[in-house]
Amino acid sequence: MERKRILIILGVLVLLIVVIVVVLSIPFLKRKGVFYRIPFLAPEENVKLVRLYFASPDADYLRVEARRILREERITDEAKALVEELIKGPRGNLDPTIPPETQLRELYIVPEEKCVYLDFNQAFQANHPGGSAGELLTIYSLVNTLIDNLKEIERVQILVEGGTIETLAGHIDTTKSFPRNSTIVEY
Amino acid sequence: MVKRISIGLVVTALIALIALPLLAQQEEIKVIYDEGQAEATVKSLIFQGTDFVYLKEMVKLFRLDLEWDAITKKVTLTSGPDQVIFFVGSSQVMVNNRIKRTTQPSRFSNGAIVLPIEFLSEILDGVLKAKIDWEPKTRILKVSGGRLNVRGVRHSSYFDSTRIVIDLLKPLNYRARKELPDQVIIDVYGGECNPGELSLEINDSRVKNIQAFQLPNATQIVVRLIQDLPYKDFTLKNPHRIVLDINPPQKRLDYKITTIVIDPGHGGKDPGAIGRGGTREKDIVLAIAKELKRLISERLGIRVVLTRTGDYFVPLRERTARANNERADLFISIHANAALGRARGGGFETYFHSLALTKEAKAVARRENAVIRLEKGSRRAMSQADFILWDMAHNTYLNESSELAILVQEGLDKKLKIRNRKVDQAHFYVLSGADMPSILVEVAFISNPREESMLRNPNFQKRVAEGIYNAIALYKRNFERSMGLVTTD
Repeated sequence: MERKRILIILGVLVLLIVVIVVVLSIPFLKRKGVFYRIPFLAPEENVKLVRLYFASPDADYLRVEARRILREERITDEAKALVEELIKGPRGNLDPTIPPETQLRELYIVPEEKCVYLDFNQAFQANHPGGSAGELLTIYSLVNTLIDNLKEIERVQILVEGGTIETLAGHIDTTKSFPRNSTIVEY
Repeated sequence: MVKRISIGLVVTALIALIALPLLAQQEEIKVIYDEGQAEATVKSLIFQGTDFVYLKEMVKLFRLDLEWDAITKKVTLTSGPDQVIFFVGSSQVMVNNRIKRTTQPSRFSNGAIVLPIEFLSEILDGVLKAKIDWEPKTRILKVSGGRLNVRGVRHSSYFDSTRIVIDLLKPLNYRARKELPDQVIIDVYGGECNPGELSLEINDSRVKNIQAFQLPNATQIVVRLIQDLPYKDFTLKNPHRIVLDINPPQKRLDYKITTIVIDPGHGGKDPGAIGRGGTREKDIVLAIAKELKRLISERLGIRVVLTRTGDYFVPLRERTARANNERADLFISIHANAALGRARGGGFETYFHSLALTKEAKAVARRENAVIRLEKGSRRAMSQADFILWDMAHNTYLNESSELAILVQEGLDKKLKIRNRKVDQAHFYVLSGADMPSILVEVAFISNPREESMLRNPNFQKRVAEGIYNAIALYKRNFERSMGLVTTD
């Protein structure tokens, strides 16, 4: 009887230790990338998996954050939803690229140009932190996100309060539309 | 009782056995070239007993060109004419359109792509024409051959001259000569090349083509001209290269840098970026610009013009227009960087202006120009020659600007203890009107509190000015020396 009880206690202890070790090692394993999730899980019918480009913590590059958003019927609504998600900012460990006070006033698509025109409110420009790195990250997070997720789109034109602007904050030329840029993306 | 204990032990052992191999260990791999002539170490991760190396490191190590498509997860590696294509997560690899397999697939680790070690020994060795052996016991990767030191030939056509650049892995002695009036021969002693990769059809108004030959002790590059034209040759560093100018601009024979325009960013109603401590970019960059002006005019005796000397607003276009009016030889715009986010970036970087940033941009431009021509009813798509003209018009001063940008980045690296970010190119509104080599320096991140307080420090401002000054002095020396070496036959 006595030996049996000791054994049970011993068994429970061993099990407990194993559980503790496994639980403790989860963050470590995660860090090591063992729990690599395949991003292409069959999405439910009304949900779409999209790739959003946000800034790396050192503001060096753009990286992808995958996110599920509601599927939209019209491409303009889908484009709007993508921009809204970018304004909301990243959920993971990436950094935002668009000032949070920004509002998308309107969005137009010109199919012949394969171009989407994004019309932002003044806050997009006024609250921008400036800097060449900051401008490049803002511009190409929008450009790459829209082009990657919408196969009809090849260019993105930025507008503020209905018109083109020379630059966001004094550096990169925003008078013309942008094609995708893969050199700013970190793989 | 014993039975139960042993069952318990077996279960624990099993759990341990399953859990342990899942742990990816970080290890190092030693790379030995050509029987120990050179060495390097790369990081590796061990997943389930197999070594994985980082794609990024391999691209650097073997000087591959990488293209990455984030949507399809397609990776394209190019080395000369050879191409390797694979999808991350798949063990199938296309090598020059033939399918090969690795036993383990490539995969992601923390967002980075890692390759099983056999990818090197089984797939890359053929592409690189090198022998790559992996010794798992000693964890040594032996690489022999495949390191051609004459890496490539490129050219740019300008209105009056054609520049041919031979990229080298290390400095090599060479001799350029003319045996026939319409032929320039360059012997690169000790050069090893892949002749097919270096041969080019040019067919602009001066150069027919370039052909490369591998001789026993040298690489010979033959440049065939359309007619008898003068040439000059010189070398440049970082990366090492031999430059051959066909029909070099005559008026530049006694070329000297006489005027430099320095552009302190922002000003007046435009404060530029503002730090959390209230530091304004416009004040800092003006102080740096003034110090830089002092250094250049005192030590080099060059005329320096500032686009603004106080706190007032100057429109972007007027800044380069001023430089054009002053007939400046260089335009240097000084800024402080910023970004959104928690870390808010850090470090210094130097940009030069470029229109066609990427292959994608060039492809789009090519397509659009083709469309424009069709719309005008000429029914002729853009020809190769048209594209060269387009490319040329947008690439004037590209070489000079990138050269200056690299030197400035190096100059700052020697003076500053903050992070050396990169030399990069972008389409800058502030630089786009400049009719001269032009760069934009982002000296530090004002949005990073640590660097904000550095930027306020006059000593830091001084070091920035010295770093840029040293680069300009070096650029001037290199440039005027290269221009002085003209041989006009």
